[in-house]
Parts: sequence; structure tokens; C-alpha cells
Amino acid sequence: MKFSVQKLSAALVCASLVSAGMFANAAAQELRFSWWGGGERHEAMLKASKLFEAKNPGVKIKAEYSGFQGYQERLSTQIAGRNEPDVMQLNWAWLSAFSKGGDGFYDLRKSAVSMKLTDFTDQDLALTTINGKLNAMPVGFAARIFYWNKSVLAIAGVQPPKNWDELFTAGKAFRAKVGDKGYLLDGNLYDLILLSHAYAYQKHGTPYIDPKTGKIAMSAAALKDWAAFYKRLQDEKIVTPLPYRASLGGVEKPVEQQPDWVNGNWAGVYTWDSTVRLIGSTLPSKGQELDVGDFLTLPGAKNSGMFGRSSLVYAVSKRSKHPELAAKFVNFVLTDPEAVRIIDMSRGTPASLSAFQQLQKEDRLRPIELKAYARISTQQKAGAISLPAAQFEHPRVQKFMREVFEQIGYGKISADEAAKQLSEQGATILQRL
Amino acid sequence: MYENRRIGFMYVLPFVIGVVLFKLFPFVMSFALSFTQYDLIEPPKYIGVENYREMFTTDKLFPKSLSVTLMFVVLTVPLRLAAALMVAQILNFKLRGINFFRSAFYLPSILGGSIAVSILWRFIFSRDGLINQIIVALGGTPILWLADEQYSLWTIVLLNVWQFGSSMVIFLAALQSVPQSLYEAAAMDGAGKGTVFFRITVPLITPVIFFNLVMQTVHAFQEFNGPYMVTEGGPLHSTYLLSLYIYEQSFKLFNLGYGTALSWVLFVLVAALSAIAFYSSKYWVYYAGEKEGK
Repeated sequence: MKFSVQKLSAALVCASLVSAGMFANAAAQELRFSWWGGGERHEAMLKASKLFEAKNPGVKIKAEYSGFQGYQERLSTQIAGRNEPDVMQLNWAWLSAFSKGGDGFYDLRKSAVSMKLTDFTDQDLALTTINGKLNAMPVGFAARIFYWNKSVLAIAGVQPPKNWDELFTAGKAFRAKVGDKGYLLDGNLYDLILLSHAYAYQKHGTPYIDPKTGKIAMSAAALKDWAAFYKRLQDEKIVTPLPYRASLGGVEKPVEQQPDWVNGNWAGVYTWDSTVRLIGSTLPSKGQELDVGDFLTLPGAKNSGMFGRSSLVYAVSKRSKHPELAAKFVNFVLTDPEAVRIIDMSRGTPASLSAFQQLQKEDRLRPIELKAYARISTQQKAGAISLPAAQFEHPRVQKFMREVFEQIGYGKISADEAAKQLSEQGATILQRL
Repeated sequence: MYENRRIGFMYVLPFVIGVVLFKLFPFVMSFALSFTQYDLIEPPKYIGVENYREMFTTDKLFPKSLSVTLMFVVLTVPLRLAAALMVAQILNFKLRGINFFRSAFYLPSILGGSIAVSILWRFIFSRDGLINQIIVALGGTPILWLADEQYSLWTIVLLNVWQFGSSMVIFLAALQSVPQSLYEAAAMDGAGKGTVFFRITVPLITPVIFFNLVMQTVHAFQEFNGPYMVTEGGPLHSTYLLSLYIYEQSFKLFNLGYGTALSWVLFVLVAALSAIAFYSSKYWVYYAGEKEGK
């Protein structure tokens, strides 16, 4: 009797396991989808995921979302553990680290039938293509531009600058009018590194890192100009000096959270064009109006030096059990009219042409967003925005550049010493990548 | 007997499996990885002692981070122990509502590592924050706590010291175990409060002081939340503790091989200091029933 009970139990266990396996096979195909963002984006992406599930019975989207801090670190460990989500939102800058030779992610060209690739410009797709493999789909194109608080400038009697010289004269005039707390321009450390880089790029015609060779392209003179320009911005108090900004609650504290921005002590910011809603969100609703500034250019410059690239990208795991479905989902959140309506501007201005036209037609884009888009597009069409080298935003290069410029900001090293470090130590780091 | 052993083994098996899988295996693997170049994406590549050689010869950030960490430990541990002992001594009095105060003083230990507190900390140490307002009200000059490399370490030291709750609870238990008869005898002999504290209380709780010292030193070397959330290691790496450096190298800069080498150096350092503490304990820690010279 005892024996037969054991046999019966074993049979029941086996039967339940087999049936569980059968049900599992028949159950929903699950796609894990991870992204970072704020409340608005979370809400939109969850709604869009639900819509995809409704349109594709038997598919389940498992959302894994968080804020930006710690996202890359978590993703790194997931990829190392071969346990990454099927669809991942990535920073374009991480592509070079996660997919050195282009084999880090699923090649989306394999699923070209499910994708509306014609909706994206060749330049956008080139940014996410490594060794001929489409590693990710661009969500939007973003560039660093100037936003000016027109009302604050008007009160101070200062005109928005139209060239580099005017930036310095306007900065001094603004400060003379507003006082010690007055700064014409704000930006975090990286924003101002890029602003100075734009100046040196325009003057010497080369970026810091050559996108083709991955090696340092700037001459010693150009590197010195890059460092010296950053130093001049700080020394002449045209921008919020680094130590001062740090003392207000951290160098990376966003401008919209700065009381001096809200109170009109700071007149402008050099930042991503896609952040305009955020930076305008804390300004008093009456009597404060933001405007897009001219991109400052040296006479005769061959390149604008404007730093533009894909803002976000979606990649599909090369280990995904459902790559075709994942590609279909990526295409859905980028181009499906209903999804585009739900997601709206929560990911910035879309790279997808049809999505952009739809949002424009449905009056979802604010005039200032359209103006920023037009300004960047003009530069793009004129060929004045070159593709940045992937290595330029590699985390190790980023950390190194920040360290060099932080030392300049704190007066620890001269422009000459900074140029030397950027050349010698930069070359060593690039060689190791 | 044999049956009991088997059952006993079954009971401890989950723990043994847990230790082997989640402690021993990563421990051994991290040592092996410290001799590799491993970017998390490509398979690890054996490079011998290159990571250790680089750390002690060309890496300028390692000595900086090490010195910051040592300074942090030197400042934090004594201050935290002193604060914990002082508050425990006060909370040892029989006062009305004492349980409320005991809970209240323990609260920072629960809240200290949270995001909300880090934002609060940034706020109160900012240029126009509460601390500077007090300094100005007292006639002083504002200090750029978060921006000046001379003062920034203090912001995370104070955050850490503020979380003295766990040490305080252990001290409180120790203080309550000191026999009242000794205090009564001292009072009869006319001993003052200071004498009683340093001649009776402190010697009798030295085992607990030693325990707290070792535990707090180990914790201080592993401190991560404060610098990560409040100062992000800056300015100019003045709060760049080794734990932060290990984390960044391993998971942010795709350099896990180097990160594990750094963590092994930290492990050896903490182990060595703990060994010194244990060795020195025979000269200053007194256990109940112990005879002089033993």
C-alpha cells in the first residue's frame, strides 16, 4: 500500500510538471522591457505596452523601469549575467561599451520586414549601426543648444548673444546689472565641456576624438584652446563657476531645481534641446518666456561643433527568445500612431518621421520645441553636425574628461597642463578601450 | 544517532548552500577575476598581477581614494563610538518617556542610508542651507561644505556619525549590565562622576567597546551610500572612498577585473587592521572573571 501511494504521488508530480510545461508553452510569450525615466514616461510606456498586448493576444510585456541613477550599472550586471531584458532603452553612449564589434545586440536589420526603417534618416540609423549591424533603433535626435529666458534678459537690458564675443560682453553686462548672484549662462560640468569643445572644434576644424580612427584628433593648440575657453568662461563668471554650482547642492543638480534659475538670477542654459519642458516647468508662469538661442559660431567655421546624437535608443537582446517579436515591439513604440499619441513627448522629439509629423499635426509640439527642432535640422541638413566618435561618450573617457575639466574649474591646473593631460592620458585611455 | 546527524545536516543544508553559493563562490571568483581584464561583456582575459601592479604604480586615483578612506575611518569611528556611548549613558538614566527617546535616537540608523536623507543632507549643507545659516547667525562665515575639498568629507562623516543607533543600543545593554553595587561602593568612597565613568563603567564595558570598534571600523571601510548619494565622490575626489571607486570601476567603467583587485586590497587592509585590533585587545579589554596577567 505504502509503495503504491509513493508511485501514485510520483505519477501525480510528473503529471503536474508535464502539464505545467505544456501550459507554459501555450501561455503568453513574454518580453521583458526596461527603461529609465520620470513619472510621465513611466506612465506612457506602461500604457503603450498594454496597447501592444491588446493588439497582440498571447503577448505579455513585463516592464522593468526605474530612474536614471544606477540604471547602467544594473544593466551591465544583467548583460554580464546573460539575463538582460529582451528590449532595452539605452543611452547611445553605452553602445560602444556594450557592443564593441557590433555583436553585442540583435541585428535589427534581420527583422527589417517588421520594422519601418524608412521612417528614419540614414544619419540616424548610422549612429546606431556598428560594423554594418543595426544594434539599436534611435528614439530621437538631440543636441546641446542655448535656451534663454527672454524676460530676464529684457529686464537686465541684455540681448541674447549671437556670437562668441557677444557671449562674453552680454555675460559681463548681465552680471553688472543683476549683481553677484547673476550669471548669464548655466550648465552642468559636461554641458560646459561640450560648449568649450564646440568653440575649439569650430576654430580648428577637428573634434577631440576622430570618429573614424577612435584616436585623438585635436592638435596641441586646439586642446589648449578647448581648456582655455572653459577656463575663461569660469574666470570671467560668464557661466556659473563649478565650485559655486557644487556649493548649491551638487554639480549635477538640474537647472530647473536651482532657485537662482527660478528667481531669474540666471538668464540661460546650455543643455539638451529635449529638456525644454523640464527647464521651463519651474519658471513662474507669468512674465517668464524661454526662447531658443542662436548657435554661436566663429566666422568661417567649417563645422558648427554642435554636439548632437541619438538621445535614446532601443536595443534588442541577442539572447532574446523572441527577437522578431521584440523588433516588432520596438517598431510599435516608435511608429504606431496610437502608441505615438500615448507616448507623446515623454521621450523628447521623435526621430521617426511619421511620429514627428503626427505630433506636429495633432498640435502636441510646442512652438519652442519646433523652433529648437528646426534649428538643429538646419545644421544637420547643412552637414554642420558631424557624427561624434562613439568613444567620446564611453564611460571611461567621460570620467577622464570630467576630471580634467574639474581641475580647471577649481583652479588646480592651467590650460597648458589640461591640454597635456587631454593629449597624453587621453591617448592611453583610448588605446585601452 | 546517525539518523539525528542526518536530520541535523538537513537543517543546516540551506545555510551551507547559501554560504557556498552566495559567499564562498563569489569570494573565490572575485580573487580569480582580480588577475584578469574583464569588461563584463567579453570573456575575462588573464593578465597576471597587472591590475595590482597598475594600482600600486601608475594609478593616481588609488592612493588618493585610499587616503580619503583612511581619513574617513579615522574621523568616523571614534566620533561615532563617542556619540553612541554618550547618548547610551544619558539614555541609561531612569527618566519618564525614556523608551521614546531610545527609539528616537535609533531612528537615524534606519533612515541614514535613504535617498530622502541624502537630499536633506545636500539641502542643509548647501551654500544657503541650515548649517550655514546657523554659522552666519553666530557671526561666522559660510562654508562651502559641498564644494570645498577641505570640508566636503565632513558632510559624509557627520551623516555616518549621525547613524550611531546600533552601537548605542549595544552600549546601552552593556551599561545596564554593570553591577549597581560597584557604583554604590564608589559613591560611598566619594568618587566623582568622571572617576566613576572612567574607572568603573569604561573598564567594565571594554569587551563591548572592542566589539563596536571592530564592527564600526569594518562598516566604515565599506561605507558607500553617503558619498554615492550626497557628494558623488567629489569635489576633486575628496570624498571618493574606496567602495565608490570599486563600484565605479566594476559596474560603470566596465573594468570588473580591476574593481575586484581593488576590493581584495580593501579586504586585506580591513583584515590586517582587525587582526591588529584583536592583538591589541589583550592589553586593554577586560573580561569578567579574568585574572590579571591571564
